[in-house]
Amino acid sequence: MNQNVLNTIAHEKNSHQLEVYKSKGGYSSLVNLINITPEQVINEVKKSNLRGRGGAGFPTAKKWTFLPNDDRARYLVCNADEGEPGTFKDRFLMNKLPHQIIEGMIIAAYAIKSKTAYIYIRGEFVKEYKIMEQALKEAYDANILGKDLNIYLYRGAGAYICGEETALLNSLEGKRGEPRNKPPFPAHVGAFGMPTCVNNVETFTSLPWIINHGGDAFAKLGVGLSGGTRLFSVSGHIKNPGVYELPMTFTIKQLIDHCGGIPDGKKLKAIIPGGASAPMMTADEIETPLDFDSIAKAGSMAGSGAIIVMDETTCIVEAAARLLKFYEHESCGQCSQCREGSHWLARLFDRLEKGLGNESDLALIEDICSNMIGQTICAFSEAMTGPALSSIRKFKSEFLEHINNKGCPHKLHLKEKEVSHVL
Amino acid sequence: MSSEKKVYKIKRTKINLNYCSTPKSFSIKEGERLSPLPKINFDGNNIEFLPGETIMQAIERAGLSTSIPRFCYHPALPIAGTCRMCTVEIEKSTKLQTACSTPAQEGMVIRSQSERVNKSHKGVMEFLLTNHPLDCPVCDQAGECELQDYNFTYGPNETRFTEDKRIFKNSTTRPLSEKIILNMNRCINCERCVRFEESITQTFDLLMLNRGWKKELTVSDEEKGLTSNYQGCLADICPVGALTFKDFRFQKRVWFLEKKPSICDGCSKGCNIEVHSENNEVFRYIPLYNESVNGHWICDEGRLSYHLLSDPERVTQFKIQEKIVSSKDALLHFETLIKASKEVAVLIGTDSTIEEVQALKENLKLYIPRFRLYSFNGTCNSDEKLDHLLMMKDKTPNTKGIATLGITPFENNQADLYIIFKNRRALPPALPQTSKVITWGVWTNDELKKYNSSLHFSGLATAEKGGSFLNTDEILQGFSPAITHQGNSLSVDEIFYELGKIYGTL
Amino acid sequence: MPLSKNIQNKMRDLKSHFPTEQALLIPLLHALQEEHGWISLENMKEAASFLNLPLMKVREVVSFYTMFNQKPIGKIHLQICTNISCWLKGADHLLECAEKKLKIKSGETTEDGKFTISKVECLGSCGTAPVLQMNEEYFENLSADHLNELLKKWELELNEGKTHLGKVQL
Repeated sequence: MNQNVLNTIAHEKNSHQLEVYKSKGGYSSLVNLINITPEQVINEVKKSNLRGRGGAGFPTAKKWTFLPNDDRARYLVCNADEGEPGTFKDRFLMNKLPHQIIEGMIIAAYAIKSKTAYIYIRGEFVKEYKIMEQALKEAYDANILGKDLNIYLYRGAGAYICGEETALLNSLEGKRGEPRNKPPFPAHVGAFGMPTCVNNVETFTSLPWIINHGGDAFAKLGVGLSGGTRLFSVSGHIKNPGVYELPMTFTIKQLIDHCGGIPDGKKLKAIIPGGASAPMMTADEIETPLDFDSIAKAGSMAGSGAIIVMDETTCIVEAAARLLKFYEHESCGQCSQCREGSHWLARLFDRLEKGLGNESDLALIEDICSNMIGQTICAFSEAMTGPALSSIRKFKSEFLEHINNKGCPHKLHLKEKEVSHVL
Repeated sequence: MSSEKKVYKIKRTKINLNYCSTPKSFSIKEGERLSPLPKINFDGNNIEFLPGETIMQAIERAGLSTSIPRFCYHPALPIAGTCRMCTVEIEKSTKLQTACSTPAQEGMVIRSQSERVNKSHKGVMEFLLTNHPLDCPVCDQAGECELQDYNFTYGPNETRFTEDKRIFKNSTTRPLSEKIILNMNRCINCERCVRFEESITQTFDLLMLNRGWKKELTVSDEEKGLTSNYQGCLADICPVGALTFKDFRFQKRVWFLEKKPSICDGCSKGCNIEVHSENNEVFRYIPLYNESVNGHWICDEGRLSYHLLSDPERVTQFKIQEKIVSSKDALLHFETLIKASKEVAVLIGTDSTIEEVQALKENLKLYIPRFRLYSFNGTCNSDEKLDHLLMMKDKTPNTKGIATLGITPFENNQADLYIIFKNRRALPPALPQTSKVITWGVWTNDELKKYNSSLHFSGLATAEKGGSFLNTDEILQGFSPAITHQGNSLSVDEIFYELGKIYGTL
Repeated sequence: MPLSKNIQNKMRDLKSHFPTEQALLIPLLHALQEEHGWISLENMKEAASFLNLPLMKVREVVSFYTMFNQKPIGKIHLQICTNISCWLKGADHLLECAEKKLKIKSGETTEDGKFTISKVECLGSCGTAPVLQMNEEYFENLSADHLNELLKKWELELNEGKTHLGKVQL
């Protein structure tokens, strides 16, 4: 049941080139745009139930309506700072469908009446930057851009936190990528102080289809309040990792089977359904469908659609320690809770992994996390508590094993094997 | 220059400060008010606010700021909202909000205490103390440390952090300039200092390197260090002992200090200060908040001027020529000198208080049949500023005050006897070598030699007396003695009292 | 040393893209790093004066972002992802191999200035884990053997005097 709907052109050779893209129906939505007003575009996207594909899942049309009705310049920003561990769909889109991104941005800019747009690409994506540069040149040469809309590229410089929209705006302005206090929201005070709308790459690539086929049809492809299909980045212990366009009616189990299942006949232990910030889910929870609301109901989050599969050989304690080290490294350091808490949690999990922890550390982690939720400038602090809490709650036995055995039982087991071999 | 006397009317007005306070979205002219102003309800109190203000600003104006703890917020600095200590509970809002960065809205019901807020306070205190070293026994800030005070009220009793604390090897104790020392391990990353350098002094000397828990404060140019004239203010605004003022470091524990207000006499700005002393020995000046004069700040020159009080070169005895005498002998010699002179000119420095000048004007008539009264400045007579903040070119505190009393500036007027009354600031003019000079007030040994003083009446410094100055913005500021003089100098009133006893006018 | 003509021209072209001069800072820093391999204090001072910014604004930006090198690095910068998906597929072993082969630890540069190893966070290519980035190029689906081969190949190319290794060419 492979519903390749939104990204069909990606399967063509050289889909990143303008002629190929156009020959397969690319940029056809621009013709339809001429006959509808910006308000009608917003209406269609509203009917489509398109939700932000960057991780937050905020209804896109609603975001567009936040911009105030004044005569200041308005900016549209494409968030291509893909840094959420496990996510690599935006890289796929920039490599294969740069023109679909441009087409989506033209639609969005028309809807919010913006004349200037920026694409903020993470610094490590040099090849993707050059491909987008080439695609933009082609679009300018073909007069698709330049009249009503200018799109400029911007390279990031290695900071995961710049994926947060206000941090991205600060980075765009040439400052440290530190998130801003909200209010005022970017819709009122955004890039360079002007009303701004920030959307994810995949959100933009979903727009041409909506314009061509209507919002209702897009909503029907999805389920509940989550319209359309989405790109899932599947990685980890899976036979066929990669980017898959699938409907959100798929359950986690169906997705794992679709991607070839777990190699070497191993059993599933845990999956992370939405990138590093999503709470872990156990093998008992894989009948959950992959739409935003079902995953939220199950206590996790659909986030960026990054599915990380972990089999029985994975040490969950080490996985959690690894993730928390990532958060410690990437914290911007503004808020007291996040700055000190990220360091504290990383140290705690590191000790637990090395077998130097004790049981009171688990209760301590619970309390530290409760002090980090809902009180900071951005959601980074809360995101950290996702893997921290879910790992100690759902895999408590593994932590207790580390504590009691004063080390990782898996590694100790391997050591034992070595010793007996020598003997 | 014309011989017109310029008379300044004393008026009490709110002057636009030449520094950047937290801008409000619109200002209200005196006498004009929106009626009615929107209100918020804070802990049961109805408080008015100006549209655009944050909750914290409204509460500060209502005088309730002590109910909300804060580290990164400072009323004169741009809002950061990063320490997360000032969280309050707002009805109809699911999350706790920071009072310093949330705009106030009509009808908001805000609570500064609740189970959630208390837990948040405890959490923030615990987080801030995880990497903070237990330096209190050796830290200057102890006793006036916001971290200590807030932890006592809002924080946990113990820490549960058992990991190794963060250490900045190169910045554990590092001088950032000749005046400021950084103890980076104590820093709680409020970044008030960085914002101060950006918005108030605009010297951009400080920055935070790196990100996360490794953020480190440093100077932008390692060779130059800090370059502004307001470095002492950095130690004032730092809520912990990370930035300390070298001059005060390890000198005195703050709980021994007696604190009395006074006025700095370093220039015509008249910044309000608080004199911190123990047993009448001054250990430091700190700025006192005055919205119309100096805001929250004072320049380093003014801050360090307390050293002049105990300067070994300051003369604190009555003298006849070079010999130290008792005040009685000096006062007896006074009449001898007066009787021997025909033309007497009294020169009054523009660093004298208004009361001293009036006392001299009236009481000298009883002893000197005919004398002419002049003023002198010696530094700069105009309103010219030295920088965009506080420092003035006129280094005397009362130029306008003296002018208001109608005293004309000295212009090489001849006399047989000059009586020069000054404090430590005004510079007396050059006088002909043949004339006799009576020096009165605060003088140094060198100055007495230079003017060949025949008689010296030793007087009180500004911090040792009461009086009033009229500053450059025509604001009248009165002050009381902050310490008692420990030498043999006498105030002007005391000297006239003694003269009266000797010559029988009383 | 003033900014090169090349960089000045690049910045001139970008000026119309942004309403403020400060927004040119990160592109300028990237250009400086491309030219010199790292960003020295001298370069930061030049950037500050070129954009009319105080030096502290440049220094705080350079130290915030991990991609900007504040000291010289080797001609081959091996950036090995050690985040969750790459770790699940054996990135630790890859890192160990690189460290053993080059006889340095991550964060260090070889004595001959040829190689530097860095541990980095998610490179955004988790489907082809484990992944390493050499200068600008991505090397995906790596195995220890493959890595050894690459290291040998690059050593040879460096000895031949090849420059601009790891530059992305479309």
